[in-house]
Amino acid sequence: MSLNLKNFNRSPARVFLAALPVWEVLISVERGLTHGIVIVAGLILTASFFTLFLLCFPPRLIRLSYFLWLAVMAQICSHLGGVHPLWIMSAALLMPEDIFRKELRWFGFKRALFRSVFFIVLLIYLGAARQIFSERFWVWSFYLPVGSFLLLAFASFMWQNQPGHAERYKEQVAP
Amino acid sequence: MSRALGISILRGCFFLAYVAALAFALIWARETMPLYQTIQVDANVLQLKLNDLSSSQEEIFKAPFTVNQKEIFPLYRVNERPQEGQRKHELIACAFQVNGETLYGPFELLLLTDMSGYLLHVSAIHHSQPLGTDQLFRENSLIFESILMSQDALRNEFYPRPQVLGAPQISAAVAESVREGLLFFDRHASEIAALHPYASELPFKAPEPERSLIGQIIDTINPLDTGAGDEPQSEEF
Repeated sequence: MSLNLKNFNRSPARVFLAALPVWEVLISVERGLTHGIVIVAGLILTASFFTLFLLCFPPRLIRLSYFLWLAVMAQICSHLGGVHPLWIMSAALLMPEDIFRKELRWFGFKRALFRSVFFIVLLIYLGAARQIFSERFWVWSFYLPVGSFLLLAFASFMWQNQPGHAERYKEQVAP
Repeated sequence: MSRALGISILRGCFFLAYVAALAFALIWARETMPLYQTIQVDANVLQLKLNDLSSSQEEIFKAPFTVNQKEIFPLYRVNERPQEGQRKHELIACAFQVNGETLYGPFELLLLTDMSGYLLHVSAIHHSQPLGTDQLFRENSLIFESILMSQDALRNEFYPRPQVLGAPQISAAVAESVREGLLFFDRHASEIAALHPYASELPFKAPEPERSLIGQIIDTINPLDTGAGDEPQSEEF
């Protein structure tokens, strides 16, 4: 097994990583939907703002501006939307790095939109899995965040061991 | 050169305006919104919970009565056709509230015990916990399930606290308040049994069957061994 860390910023595994900060509070479909909507709204607002006004900022102060923006957004939207304050970590992890490059910023904006769709679906699925397995089937692991981890581990195991997987992905694995 | 300088100055002004707008938004948010998001529950949630607990039509909660400054909600099984020696309103359980406080905020629990002191149900009525720890207070949560299972140990002085991952302080506070509630019930069980609204209700006693009119006539004509006909005649007759 090898992990190509070089292109990790462009990897779809970023979506799973972005779900980690709010993983603990995803106990139902409603909460998954709420967090998904607030995080994706914050992400799209941030991405569109910095895509449009990137050229207006002094180049050396872009990172600082981004940090201040995240801090204020975290304060406001966690109160307005009733979500966990760490939602801003998810939004920051979902944000593509290409947004802050002049040439690639529209490409980064598309990538942010693309990720947000996957992310909101993932949160709803995680909340639904925990709600169903804990309240319907009384599996005690799913009262805790570890239940969703177990489910994802099982899914990834099945994905890795599907027939013909190694041959199909042989060329993409780094030597 | 001058054009580049002008652009730099414009960019700097934009940055200053941006920072000012952010600061204004932050101050506005801090002034208008509370620091922590707390979950407020409806005022009639207690009544809804009591309705849920009395699942069948025969089991109903009556108005609360006070024992040692604590409101007790009695749960009766109503026997519409009581048998011999059975009360019409039979006290089977009682519900009451206990209060507690964690590091994050206060909470109120609803306990339901049967009359032998066995804990049947624990759930939260109100709590003011931040998001993330509030899920420990939902129905059938890990804390409440473990408390129901270890309630005998809770009555002891050195009880083993229920261990819940991630929130030992919350579970300890909940267990402590439940323990106080159980000890309260143990101390005042006899008072509760004596003071509840239907305590003075007498057990059902079946009335003696009345004879029909034909039976009474037959009795007067052909008296049996009851001695009805053997009475001496009055002097007037």
